[in-house]
Amino acid sequence: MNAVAAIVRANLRRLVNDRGNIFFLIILPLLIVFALGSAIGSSESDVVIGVVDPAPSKLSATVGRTLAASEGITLENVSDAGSLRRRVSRGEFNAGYVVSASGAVTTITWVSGLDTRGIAMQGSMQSVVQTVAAHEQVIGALDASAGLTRQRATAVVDGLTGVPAVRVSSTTVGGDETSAESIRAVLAGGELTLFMFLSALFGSQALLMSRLLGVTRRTSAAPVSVRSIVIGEAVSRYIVAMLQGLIIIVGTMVLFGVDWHSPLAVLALSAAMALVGTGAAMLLGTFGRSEQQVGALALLVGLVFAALGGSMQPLEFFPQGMRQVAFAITPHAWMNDGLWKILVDGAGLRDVLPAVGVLTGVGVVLLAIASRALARRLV
Amino acid sequence: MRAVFDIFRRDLRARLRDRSAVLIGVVAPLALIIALSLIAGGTSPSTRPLGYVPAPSTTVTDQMLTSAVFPALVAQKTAEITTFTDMAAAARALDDGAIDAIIQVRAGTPDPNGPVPLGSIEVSHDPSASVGGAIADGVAKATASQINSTVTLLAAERRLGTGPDAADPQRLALTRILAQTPVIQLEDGPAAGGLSTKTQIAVGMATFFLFFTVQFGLLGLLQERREGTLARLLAAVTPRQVLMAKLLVSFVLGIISMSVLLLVARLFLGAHFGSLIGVAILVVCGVAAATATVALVVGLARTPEQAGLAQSMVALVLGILGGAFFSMARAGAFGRIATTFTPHYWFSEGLIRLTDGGSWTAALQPAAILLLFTAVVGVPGVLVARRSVRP
Repeated sequence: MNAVAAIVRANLRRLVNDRGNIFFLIILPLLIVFALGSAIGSSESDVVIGVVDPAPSKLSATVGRTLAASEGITLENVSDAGSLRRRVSRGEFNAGYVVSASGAVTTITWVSGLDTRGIAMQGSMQSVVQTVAAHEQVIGALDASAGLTRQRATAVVDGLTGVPAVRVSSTTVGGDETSAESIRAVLAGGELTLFMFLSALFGSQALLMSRLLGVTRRTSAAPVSVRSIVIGEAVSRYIVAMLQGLIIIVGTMVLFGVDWHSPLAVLALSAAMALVGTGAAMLLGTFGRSEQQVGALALLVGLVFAALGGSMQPLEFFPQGMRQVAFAITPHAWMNDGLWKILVDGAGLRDVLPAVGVLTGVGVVLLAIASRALARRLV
Repeated sequence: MRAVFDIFRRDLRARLRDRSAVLIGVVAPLALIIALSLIAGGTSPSTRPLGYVPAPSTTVTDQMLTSAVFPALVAQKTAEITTFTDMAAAARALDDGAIDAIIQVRAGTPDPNGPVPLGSIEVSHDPSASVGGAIADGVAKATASQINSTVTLLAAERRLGTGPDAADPQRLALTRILAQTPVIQLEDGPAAGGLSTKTQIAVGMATFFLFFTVQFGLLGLLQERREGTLARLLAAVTPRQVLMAKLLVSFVLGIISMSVLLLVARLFLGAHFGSLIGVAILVVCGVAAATATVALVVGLARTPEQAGLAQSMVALVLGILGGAFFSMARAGAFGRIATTFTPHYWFSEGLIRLTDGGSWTAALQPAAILLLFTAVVGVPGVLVARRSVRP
């Protein structure tokens, strides 16, 4: 056991001595969670509409007020139509409108780009415009059909009581709305999965260099069994993966107030995912040929699995077929699905045990294959 | 000049044979573009499925919805309407996710103006399908407003004794009178430009990996110095020629990577980039900016490991801030300002301007900013990198 501990200590000392690792293990994941939270968290929760209204009239002001009173809609004034178009194109606004007046008629020109929520907002805008216009339109129509002055028509319409009307009511059915806090927590969860696996995979470079430089072979010349060397290398990778997980969990809790709901369940998933990362890293470090090749493969596999496994976009928003593919080929999908259950549905340890089981199984199989291969190369 | 091209040719051949450059420059970004495009297919398309449950006996609201409102929604491709005979079947469809929202008409208020009741509308929607819910809500309110203003007009005319026969069965025709007297109207403006989701993914990944790809040329300086081949090379050519050759390798690798990725995205993934000349200008200026960045990093680093690590950090930070993975346009004041300091932002800004109906000249301003970045970073970069060209 002393030999295993010595190998682990040496590997961890190498990790700590390299200052670049502070960036990759601590700063980078937290920077991404911060950037994702502020970029996507807010864009998921609010629809932002740009408004160009250089000379607001009573009607256009009422339209703006009515729209701004709707839940989840924010209005922002823009100086000119060109600037509005550019900002809609860039995605700063979901959509926007330009108010212009010609005689007695006010025209609102709707500007939307490729944003689906912006396109859909046109329906809401239509209803707001029609509602605001209804009173004025009736007065205008009376003016036209009955030849009344505007003042008289207004008096007649305002004097009407008990006019029947079509009423509209709106209810929400189904599950609770995913709050902005939950979205931020899910995004942090996706990064947790991505970085645990990626950091473990990059650890394969250290194993490869130990192999290529003959460190592992020289160690086996000492009175240290091959089994101890393999266990030492595996434990080192596992500790790095768990360390990465803990940094993200604690860092996002302290810095961004992410509520992980059931820390025990999150830790169980992380422990199982670390095992998968360890197995994959041992496999890559054992079969890799050069540092550049292993680095490139780690980046490729780490990012592609993260994308397909729901770390860059929650699995809930995947097309059905791709969801099945994600579970079939990536461990990330199992962990991210478990995290969604914990963070959004309020699940606990018992609910995520199947995912923990699958991840542990995959990790053990990968580790067994890699350990045998590494042991064979050392003998 | 011949010496520069000789070194360049030899280096480029070596880099292209080395699978890691191809892996980082083409395979990895392509795999990510495909993966992200596949999962992006599930984000809400603009045509949303809505359910409609009519009242047991026809109401004015039903007439209005089926004769005018729904056909317009279908024609605009805003929604697809499925009619359900009872609410239970519609609720099941909503629960299964087959529809986003239900517009249910109830018999509701009797109409004093005619035998057909006005009706009332109840909208039920799934909170996770907010777009469909917003459309259904908007449709319901707009329909109600239209009918209510007609009813109010009728009531006013009846009060004045000037209106049409109160029992006029063609009452819906009155909406035409209202439509002819607009006081405020909504019209469709020309659509703004912008990059489709797949185009955004392709551009984001291509620019993100560009900063890793270009390092394969210049990083060779430090590797060759360590291996001792640089000293032998300097016996035959000047340091300036070596540096120029390495810069050229980085630049050409970047051009190859960007061209292959954008071409594949255009041909096979339906990405749309606008004017070809404009895109070519942006690619050249974007690759120049990336090469300038790596020159500065290599110049400041002492070992290949240090340079590789620092370049990865720079590439990651610039990529995240530049919106390679997700747009920073909505990330608050800090994000909006920070993103404009990255080449990634100006590259995609150029493409946005090209897709917004612009000719190739629309890309000139962003391209000029990319060149400014190249000069600001590249000049000190080349000066310090020259120090690395020593035995």
